[in-house]
Amino acid sequence: MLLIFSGYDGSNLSNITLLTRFKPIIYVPKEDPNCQLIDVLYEVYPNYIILWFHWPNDDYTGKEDYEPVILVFRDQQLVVIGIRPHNKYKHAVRWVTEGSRPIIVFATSWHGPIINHGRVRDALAVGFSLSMVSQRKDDYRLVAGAPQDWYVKADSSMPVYDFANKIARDAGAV
Amino acid sequence: MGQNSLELISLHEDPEKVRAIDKMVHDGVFGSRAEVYRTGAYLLLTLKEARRLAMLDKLDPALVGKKVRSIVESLDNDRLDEVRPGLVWVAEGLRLRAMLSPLLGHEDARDSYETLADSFFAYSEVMRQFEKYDASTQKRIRSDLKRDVAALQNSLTLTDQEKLSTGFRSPAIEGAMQQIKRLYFDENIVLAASHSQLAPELKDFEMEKYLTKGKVLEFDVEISKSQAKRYWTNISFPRASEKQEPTIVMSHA
Repeated sequence: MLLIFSGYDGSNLSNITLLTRFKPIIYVPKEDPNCQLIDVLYEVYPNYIILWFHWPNDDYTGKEDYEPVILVFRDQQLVVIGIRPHNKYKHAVRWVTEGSRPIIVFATSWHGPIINHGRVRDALAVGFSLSMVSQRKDDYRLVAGAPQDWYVKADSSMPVYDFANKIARDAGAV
Repeated sequence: MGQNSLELISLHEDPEKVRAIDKMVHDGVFGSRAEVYRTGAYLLLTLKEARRLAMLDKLDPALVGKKVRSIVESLDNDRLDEVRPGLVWVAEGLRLRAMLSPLLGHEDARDSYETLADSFFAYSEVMRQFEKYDASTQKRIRSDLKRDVAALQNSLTLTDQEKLSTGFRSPAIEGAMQQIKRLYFDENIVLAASHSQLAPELKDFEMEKYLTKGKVLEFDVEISKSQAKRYWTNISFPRASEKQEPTIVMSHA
């Protein structure tokens, strides 16, 4: 397993260790070379980490896409995953893993994250992760940072940090 | 049933529910209170059938299967004017499926259906304005749409199959499967593994109950030795005859 970090300032060391253990394995749509995943930014907080999956396009208007995935930790374990497909916040407490790493499928040109919960009927997550339509990535580079302010809320109901705090509180992680 | 009758029903509702219904109407989820009640009545009428279809994994194909196939045909034959109505239908079907998920005991699946419903609605909007995009963007839209409709079609095919296939084809296994197929085609071999040879990773995917039934799983996917060994232990690779069908068979010993 190859895990690469850059720009890390040394704070929250234990959460960086957790990120190493729980960094998601992702499936991304097969796209034109100019439209593929650029990088993944990360922000470390005491009870959660936000990963920002960054594409050059969100739709066909040329707007960049940053898809946040929130990893909430309690007692050194990943307990909740928060996502924001199409600007709607959702969270999961059950997911398929490889080793300790959860699997997240980014579907369609809008890169809406789908979590495979490991139920027999998770056919959508399976269909959108087959090799004919998607590409598996498990060694992507992580870069410390956050996107421009607009993406914190985008067109959703609340800033991503408020949602992260809410699911962390609900999970007893705070 | 007229609008007045429906309003009478609402008078007997819990005021909080009425407020919630009005909020859904205000937010545009439904066109009117009447539509909310019609939807509720429709669900009551169809739920038994929906539940039976869901048990058989036939609900998704029943809701959107035909339209998905027609979108594929329209795209293949360049009949773009037929694509958009199909996309709206599929998006609405997926949205209904999202609503039904908790009622059918598939609570976890709701978010996936909702996300994909939103994506296909977004595609329908893109197709509405298709002519305004430049040629290269139009080409990209067609290619992306074909990819995503194919993915949805695959999902429907999976739900047509027995649960065991769906359970096995989880993303974690897919990587191993891809390489398994490559191994088959490169070396003309068939992978056989018994239940006792399964590595712990596979047991996480509810394989045990299927394999102990003595079922045979067949795959038309790819395979590789090094990757396969991550998932299976004590693997055996008997030679297959050249006449054998190009499928990978995993059998319960």
